[in-house]
Amino acid sequence: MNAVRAMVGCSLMMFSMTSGPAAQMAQAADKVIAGSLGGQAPLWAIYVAVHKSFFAARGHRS
Amino acid sequence: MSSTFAQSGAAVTQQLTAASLDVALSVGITDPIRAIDKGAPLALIRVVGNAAPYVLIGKPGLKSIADLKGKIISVGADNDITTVYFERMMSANGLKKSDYDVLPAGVAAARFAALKAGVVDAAIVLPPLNFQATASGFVTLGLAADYVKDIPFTGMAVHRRWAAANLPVAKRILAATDKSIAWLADPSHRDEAIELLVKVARSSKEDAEASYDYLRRIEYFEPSSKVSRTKLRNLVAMEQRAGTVDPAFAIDRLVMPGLTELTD
Repeated sequence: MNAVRAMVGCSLMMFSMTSGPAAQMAQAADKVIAGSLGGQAPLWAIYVAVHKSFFAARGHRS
Repeated sequence: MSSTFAQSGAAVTQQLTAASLDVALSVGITDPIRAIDKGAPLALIRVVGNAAPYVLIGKPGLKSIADLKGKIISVGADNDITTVYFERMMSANGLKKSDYDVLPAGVAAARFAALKAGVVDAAIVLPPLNFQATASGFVTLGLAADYVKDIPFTGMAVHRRWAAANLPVAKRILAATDKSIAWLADPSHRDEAIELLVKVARSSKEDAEASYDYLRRIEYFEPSSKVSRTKLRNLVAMEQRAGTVDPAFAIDRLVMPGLTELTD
Protein backbone atom coordinates (compact mmCIF):
# COMPACT_ATOMS: atom_id res chain seq x y z
CA MET A 1 0.00 0.00 0.00
CA ASN A 2 2.97 2.28 0.48
CA ALA A 3 3.59 1.85 -3.18
CA VAL A 4 0.05 2.81 -4.04
CA ARG A 5 0.38 5.96 -2.02
CA ALA A 6 3.64 6.92 -3.55
CA MET A 7 2.53 6.15 -7.04
CA VAL A 8 -0.72 8.01 -7.02
CA GLY A 9 -0.37 10.65 -4.36
CA CYS A 10 -3.32 11.68 -2.31
CA SER A 11 -6.31 13.88 -2.81
CA LEU A 12 -8.64 15.51 -0.39
CA MET A 13 -12.19 16.20 -1.30
CA MET A 14 -14.76 18.34 0.34
CA PHE A 15 -18.40 17.54 -0.10
CA SER A 16 -21.12 19.88 0.93
CA MET A 17 -23.81 17.57 2.17
CA THR A 18 -27.39 18.35 2.90
CA SER A 19 -30.44 16.37 3.83
CA GLY A 20 -32.75 17.77 1.20
CA PRO A 21 -34.01 21.01 -0.31
CA ALA A 22 -35.29 22.41 2.93
CA ALA A 23 -32.14 21.54 4.72
CA GLN A 24 -29.92 23.11 2.11
CA MET A 25 -30.73 26.59 3.20
CA ALA A 26 -29.67 26.03 6.77
CA GLN A 27 -26.93 23.53 6.34
CA ALA A 28 -23.87 25.70 5.88
CA ALA A 29 -22.12 23.72 8.61
CA ASP A 30 -23.45 20.41 7.36
CA LYS A 31 -20.59 19.52 5.14
CA VAL A 32 -18.30 16.56 5.12
CA ILE A 33 -14.60 16.93 4.71
CA ALA A 34 -13.35 13.79 3.09
CA GLY A 35 -9.83 12.75 2.29
CA SER A 36 -8.60 9.92 0.20
CA LEU A 37 -5.64 8.21 -1.23
CA GLY A 38 -5.70 9.67 -4.71
CA GLY A 39 -4.48 8.58 -8.06
CA GLN A 40 -5.68 6.54 -10.95
CA ALA A 41 -7.49 3.24 -11.09
CA PRO A 42 -7.68 2.39 -7.35
CA LEU A 43 -9.73 5.54 -6.78
CA TRP A 44 -11.98 4.98 -9.77
CA ALA A 45 -15.12 4.33 -7.74
CA ILE A 46 -14.69 7.57 -5.85
CA TYR A 47 -14.21 9.48 -9.10
CA VAL A 48 -17.43 7.92 -10.38
CA ALA A 49 -19.34 8.86 -7.23
CA VAL A 50 -18.20 12.45 -7.50
CA HIS A 51 -18.48 12.96 -11.23
CA LYS A 52 -21.72 11.04 -11.68
CA SER A 53 -23.11 13.04 -8.74
CA PHE A 54 -23.99 9.94 -6.74
CA PHE A 55 -23.13 11.78 -3.55
CA ALA A 56 -25.37 14.60 -4.68
CA ALA A 57 -28.11 12.14 -5.60
CA ARG A 58 -28.02 10.88 -2.05
CA GLY A 59 -28.82 14.31 -0.75
CA HIS A 60 -25.33 15.74 -0.80
CA ARG A 61 -23.86 18.22 -3.19
CA SER A 62 -20.44 17.28 -4.34
CA MET B 1 -16.30 20.72 -4.02
CA SER B 2 -12.78 21.84 -3.25
CA SER B 3 -9.73 19.66 -3.47
CA THR B 4 -6.32 19.65 -1.92
CA PHE B 5 -3.48 17.14 -1.80
CA ALA B 6 -1.48 15.34 0.84
CA GLN B 7 1.55 13.11 0.60
CA SER B 8 0.34 9.71 1.69
CA GLY B 9 -2.45 7.53 2.96
CA ALA B 10 -0.82 7.73 6.37
CA ALA B 11 -1.12 11.50 6.19
CA VAL B 12 -4.83 11.19 5.42
CA THR B 13 -5.24 8.91 8.42
CA GLN B 14 -3.38 11.39 10.61
CA GLN B 15 -5.67 14.19 9.47
CA LEU B 16 -8.68 12.00 10.11
CA THR B 17 -7.40 11.23 13.60
CA ALA B 18 -6.97 14.94 14.26
CA ALA B 19 -10.56 15.53 13.01
CA SER B 20 -9.29 17.73 10.20
CA LEU B 21 -11.17 15.25 8.04
CA ASP B 22 -14.48 13.56 8.73
CA VAL B 23 -14.07 10.67 6.31
CA ALA B 24 -11.20 8.91 4.59
CA LEU B 25 -12.86 7.64 1.43
CA SER B 26 -10.16 5.20 0.43
CA VAL B 27 -6.85 4.51 2.14
CA GLY B 28 -4.59 1.54 2.60
CA ILE B 29 -6.56 -0.48 5.07
CA THR B 30 -3.64 -1.08 7.39
CA ASP B 31 -3.30 2.67 8.06
CA PRO B 32 -6.53 3.07 10.08
CA ILE B 33 -5.98 -0.29 11.74
CA ARG B 34 -2.57 0.76 13.06
CA ALA B 35 -3.99 4.14 14.11
CA ILE B 36 -6.91 2.56 15.97
CA ASP B 37 -4.51 0.19 17.69
CA LYS B 38 -2.61 3.23 18.96
CA GLY B 39 -5.81 4.83 20.26
CA ALA B 40 -7.04 6.95 17.33
CA PRO B 41 -10.82 7.57 17.52
CA LEU B 42 -11.48 6.11 14.09
CA ALA B 43 -13.70 3.37 12.73
CA LEU B 44 -13.46 1.32 9.59
CA ILE B 45 -16.82 1.37 7.82
CA ARG B 46 -16.21 -0.26 4.45
CA VAL B 47 -13.76 -2.18 2.36
CA VAL B 48 -13.18 -0.42 -0.97
CA GLY B 49 -10.40 -2.37 -2.65
CA ASN B 50 -10.98 -6.04 -2.04
CA ALA B 51 -7.91 -7.40 -3.78
CA ALA B 52 -4.36 -6.18 -4.07
CA PRO B 53 -3.57 -5.08 -7.65
CA TYR B 54 0.14 -5.96 -7.37
CA VAL B 55 1.72 -7.65 -10.35
CA LEU B 56 5.02 -9.51 -10.35
CA ILE B 57 6.90 -8.76 -13.55
CA GLY B 58 10.23 -10.11 -14.71
CA LYS B 59 12.95 -9.94 -17.29
CA PRO B 60 12.31 -11.33 -20.76
CA GLY B 61 12.98 -15.05 -20.77
CA LEU B 62 11.49 -15.76 -17.38
CA LYS B 63 8.34 -17.82 -17.68
CA SER B 64 7.00 -18.38 -14.19
CA ILE B 65 7.48 -17.49 -10.54
CA ALA B 66 9.36 -20.76 -10.08
CA ASP B 67 12.02 -19.35 -12.44
CA LEU B 68 12.88 -16.78 -9.76
CA LYS B 69 14.92 -19.28 -7.75
CA GLY B 70 18.35 -17.73 -7.28
CA LYS B 71 17.20 -14.38 -8.66
CA ILE B 72 16.98 -10.87 -7.20
CA ILE B 73 13.54 -9.33 -6.85
CA SER B 74 12.66 -5.75 -6.04
CA VAL B 75 10.04 -5.27 -3.34
CA GLY B 76 8.82 -2.25 -1.37
CA ALA B 77 10.42 -2.30 2.05
CA ASP B 78 11.16 -4.86 4.72
CA ASN B 79 7.91 -6.06 6.26
CA ASP B 80 5.71 -3.72 4.27
CA ILE B 81 2.55 -4.92 2.58
CA THR B 82 4.25 -5.62 -0.76
CA THR B 83 6.52 -8.09 1.01
CA VAL B 84 3.54 -9.88 2.51
CA TYR B 85 1.96 -10.35 -0.90
CA PHE B 86 5.25 -11.18 -2.57
CA GLU B 87 6.25 -13.85 -0.07
CA ARG B 88 2.88 -15.53 -0.34
CA MET B 89 3.20 -15.62 -4.12
CA MET B 90 6.66 -17.13 -3.83
CA SER B 91 5.75 -19.73 -1.21
CA ALA B 92 2.75 -20.82 -3.28
CA ASN B 93 5.28 -21.67 -5.98
CA GLY B 94 7.51 -23.62 -3.65
CA LEU B 95 10.11 -20.92 -3.07
CA LYS B 96 11.43 -20.15 0.41
CA LYS B 97 13.08 -16.89 1.47
CA SER B 98 16.47 -18.58 1.20
CA ASP B 99 15.79 -19.39 -2.47
CA TYR B 100 16.02 -15.79 -3.68
CA ASP B 101 17.28 -12.33 -2.74
CA VAL B 102 15.17 -9.23 -2.36
CA LEU B 103 16.15 -5.65 -2.94
CA PRO B 104 13.87 -3.18 -1.14
CA ALA B 105 13.51 -0.24 -3.52
CA GLY B 106 10.60 1.76 -2.15
CA VAL B 107 7.80 2.84 -4.41
CA ALA B 108 6.57 0.92 -7.44
CA ALA B 109 8.17 3.30 -9.91
CA ALA B 110 11.56 2.77 -8.25
CA ARG B 111 11.08 -0.98 -8.30
CA PHE B 112 10.28 -0.89 -12.00
CA ALA B 113 13.28 1.37 -12.59
CA ALA B 114 15.52 -1.20 -10.89
CA LEU B 115 14.16 -3.85 -13.21
CA LYS B 116 14.66 -1.72 -16.30
CA ALA B 117 18.20 -0.91 -15.21
CA GLY B 118 18.98 -4.61 -14.87
CA VAL B 119 19.72 -4.34 -11.17
CA VAL B 120 17.05 -6.95 -10.38
CA ASP B 121 15.46 -9.81 -12.27
CA ALA B 122 11.88 -9.12 -11.24
CA ALA B 123 9.80 -6.52 -9.43
CA ILE B 124 6.40 -6.26 -7.82
CA VAL B 125 4.59 -3.26 -9.29
CA LEU B 126 1.16 -1.72 -9.68
CA PRO B 127 -0.92 -0.77 -12.69
CA PRO B 128 -0.31 0.96 -15.00
CA LEU B 129 3.42 0.14 -14.68
CA ASN B 130 2.82 -3.52 -15.46
CA PHE B 131 1.13 -2.61 -18.72
CA GLN B 132 4.02 -0.36 -19.67
CA ALA B 133 6.43 -3.13 -18.68
CA THR B 134 4.85 -5.81 -20.83
CA ALA B 135 4.69 -3.38 -23.75
CA SER B 136 8.46 -3.05 -23.33
CA GLY B 137 9.06 -6.78 -23.42
CA PHE B 138 9.01 -7.67 -19.72
CA VAL B 139 6.84 -10.59 -18.72
CA THR B 140 4.01 -10.99 -16.23
CA LEU B 141 4.92 -13.73 -13.75
CA GLY B 142 1.92 -13.54 -11.46
CA LEU B 143 -0.89 -11.47 -10.00
CA ALA B 144 -1.09 -11.04 -6.24
CA ALA B 145 -4.87 -11.30 -6.46
CA ASP B 146 -4.57 -14.87 -7.71
CA TYR B 147 -2.67 -15.86 -4.58
CA VAL B 148 -4.00 -13.67 -1.78
CA LYS B 149 -7.76 -13.59 -1.49
CA ASP B 150 -8.24 -13.47 2.25
CA ILE B 151 -7.28 -9.89 3.14
CA PRO B 152 -8.75 -6.60 1.92
CA PHE B 153 -6.55 -3.89 0.44
CA THR B 154 -8.12 -0.45 0.89
CA GLY B 155 -10.93 0.80 3.10
CA MET B 156 -13.12 3.73 4.12
CA ALA B 157 -12.78 5.14 7.63
CA VAL B 158 -14.50 7.82 9.68
CA HIS B 159 -13.76 9.88 12.74
CA ARG B 160 -16.00 8.39 15.41
CA ARG B 161 -17.16 11.69 16.85
CA TRP B 162 -18.21 12.99 13.46
CA ALA B 163 -19.92 9.74 12.51
CA ALA B 164 -21.82 9.56 15.79
CA ALA B 165 -23.16 13.06 15.20
CA ASN B 166 -23.83 12.49 11.49
CA LEU B 167 -24.94 8.89 11.22
CA PRO B 168 -27.48 9.44 8.38
CA VAL B 169 -24.86 11.29 6.33
CA ALA B 170 -22.31 8.55 6.92
CA LYS B 171 -24.84 5.95 5.78
CA ARG B 172 -25.54 7.95 2.65
CA ILE B 173 -21.84 8.01 1.84
CA LEU B 174 -21.84 4.22 2.05
CA ALA B 175 -24.94 3.98 -0.15
CA ALA B 176 -23.42 6.33 -2.73
CA THR B 177 -20.24 4.26 -2.76
CA ASP B 178 -22.25 1.08 -3.28
CA LYS B 179 -24.00 2.72 -6.21
CA SER B 180 -20.73 3.95 -7.67
CA ILE B 181 -19.09 0.54 -7.53
CA ALA B 182 -22.17 -1.10 -9.06
CA TRP B 183 -22.09 1.46 -11.88
CA LEU B 184 -18.43 0.79 -12.49
CA ALA B 185 -19.01 -2.95 -12.58
CA ASP B 186 -21.58 -2.66 -15.34
CA PRO B 187 -19.73 -3.47 -18.60
CA SER B 188 -22.00 -1.12 -20.53
CA HIS B 189 -20.32 1.75 -18.67
CA ARG B 190 -16.79 0.72 -19.69
CA ASP B 191 -16.23 3.45 -22.26
CA GLU B 192 -17.63 6.18 -20.03
CA ALA B 193 -15.59 4.97 -17.08
CA ILE B 194 -12.42 5.00 -19.17
CA GLU B 195 -13.16 8.50 -20.41
CA LEU B 196 -13.64 9.58 -16.81
CA LEU B 197 -10.28 8.19 -15.68
CA VAL B 198 -8.53 9.81 -18.63
CA LYS B 199 -10.13 13.14 -17.82
CA VAL B 200 -9.92 13.13 -14.03
CA ALA B 201 -6.74 11.17 -13.34
CA ARG B 202 -4.96 12.22 -16.53
CA SER B 203 -4.38 8.62 -17.43
CA SER B 204 -3.56 7.64 -20.98
CA LYS B 205 -6.46 5.96 -22.74
CA GLU B 206 -4.44 2.78 -23.20
CA ASP B 207 -3.58 2.59 -19.51
CA ALA B 208 -7.17 3.35 -18.51
CA GLU B 209 -8.51 0.61 -20.79
CA ALA B 210 -6.02 -1.90 -19.49
CA SER B 211 -6.63 -0.86 -15.88
CA TYR B 212 -10.39 -1.21 -16.28
CA ASP B 213 -10.12 -4.73 -17.64
CA TYR B 214 -7.51 -5.67 -15.04
CA LEU B 215 -9.50 -4.39 -12.05
CA ARG B 216 -12.55 -6.26 -13.30
CA ARG B 217 -10.45 -9.38 -13.79
CA ILE B 218 -9.21 -9.34 -10.18
CA GLU B 219 -12.58 -8.11 -8.82
CA TYR B 220 -10.80 -5.20 -7.21
CA PHE B 221 -13.75 -3.17 -5.95
CA GLU B 222 -15.78 -4.61 -3.10
CA PRO B 223 -19.42 -4.36 -4.19
CA SER B 224 -20.97 -4.52 -0.73
CA SER B 225 -20.70 -2.27 2.28
CA LYS B 226 -20.77 -5.39 4.43
CA VAL B 227 -17.36 -6.03 5.99
CA SER B 228 -16.14 -9.58 6.37
CA ARG B 229 -15.24 -10.30 9.98
CA THR B 230 -13.04 -13.16 8.81
CA LYS B 231 -11.04 -10.95 6.46
CA LEU B 232 -10.60 -8.35 9.18
CA ARG B 233 -9.33 -11.05 11.51
CA ASN B 234 -6.89 -12.21 8.84
CA LEU B 235 -5.65 -8.68 8.33
CA VAL B 236 -5.19 -7.99 12.02
CA ALA B 237 -3.42 -11.32 12.46
CA MET B 238 -1.08 -10.39 9.62
CA GLU B 239 -0.33 -7.06 11.29
CA GLN B 240 0.21 -8.77 14.62
CA ARG B 241 2.68 -11.19 13.07
CA ALA B 242 4.52 -8.21 11.62
CA GLY B 243 4.59 -6.59 15.05
CA THR B 244 2.72 -3.49 13.91
CA VAL B 245 -0.42 -4.14 15.95
CA ASP B 246 -0.70 -5.19 19.58
CA PRO B 247 -1.11 -8.97 20.02
CA ALA B 248 -4.19 -8.39 22.17
CA PHE B 249 -5.91 -6.14 19.62
CA ALA B 250 -9.53 -7.21 18.98
CA ILE B 251 -11.30 -6.47 15.70
CA ASP B 252 -14.33 -5.05 17.50
CA ARG B 253 -12.21 -1.95 18.07
CA LEU B 254 -12.12 -1.38 14.32
CA VAL B 255 -15.82 -1.04 13.71
CA MET B 256 -18.64 1.32 14.64
CA PRO B 257 -21.89 -0.33 15.72
CA GLY B 258 -24.81 1.02 13.77
CA LEU B 259 -22.61 2.00 10.87
CA THR B 260 -20.12 -0.72 10.07
CA GLU B 261 -22.06 -3.74 8.89
CA LEU B 262 -20.14 -6.88 9.77
CA THR B 263 -20.83 -10.16 8.06
CA ASP B 264 -19.69 -13.80 8.56
